[in-house]
Amino acid sequence: MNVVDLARRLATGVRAKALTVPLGLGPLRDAVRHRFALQFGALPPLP
Amino acid sequence: MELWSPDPDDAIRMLPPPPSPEPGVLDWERRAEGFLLRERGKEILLIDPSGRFVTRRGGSGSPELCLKWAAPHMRMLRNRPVIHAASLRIGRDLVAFCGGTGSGKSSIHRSFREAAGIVKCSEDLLPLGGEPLMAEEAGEEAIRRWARENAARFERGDRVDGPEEAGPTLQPLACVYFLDPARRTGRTISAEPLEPIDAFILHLRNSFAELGRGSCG
Repeated sequence: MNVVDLARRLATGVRAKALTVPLGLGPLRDAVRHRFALQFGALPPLP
Repeated sequence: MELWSPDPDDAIRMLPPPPSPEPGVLDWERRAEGFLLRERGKEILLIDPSGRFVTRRGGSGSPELCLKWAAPHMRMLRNRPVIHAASLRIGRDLVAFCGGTGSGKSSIHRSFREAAGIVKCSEDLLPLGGEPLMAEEAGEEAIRRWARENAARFERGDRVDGPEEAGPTLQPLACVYFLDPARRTGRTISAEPLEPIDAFILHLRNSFAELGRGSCG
């Protein structure tokens, strides 16, 4: 396998998405918690 | 220029040549004896042409860090792919977050690890293997352990053989998210599906192909 074949296999065999995330760890952490609330109906526990 | 083509190989041939890379912190040079890595112009290490072993060439940096730099390239040369990605297992799904420095890869990894039910698999490197291609869930840990255990030998100038495979921890890769530093805006997370041709280009950028070879085998 060469790198072109690898990229082709990944591009055609695995879902790929462009992700937009907030800048900064604090806003990003809040966004992740919000995303989880939407996805699973409950917020994950805070550390 | 019309770049549309039903055949990706045709599209690749029609693309203009990529711009010459800016001189970076880390630069590779291909030599008869192998691949030489320089850090800010100073020789650091040499990987043999087949990717089987690495030797120190100088520099005063951390030997463990040098081995971590070498590891993904050694894997690629030995036909064992690796992508530049943080990864997590959410339930049964292993997802990867690809992107270069500053894209938010480590931040999102840190943010997710606080959530219950999430297993953090890798922070920077995601080795792949098997047929069909799957992710080595413990692959990065194996690379870190290899770097730790061989740091003293490397520092002495001994030849260090490459890391072995992580073992039977292969997981199907459910999704690859590509992070772009230019897209770090707003206060929420959003994801847009990518067309295969866009994903193809992004995978190439994150596949440790800097050694200038078309083949990783």
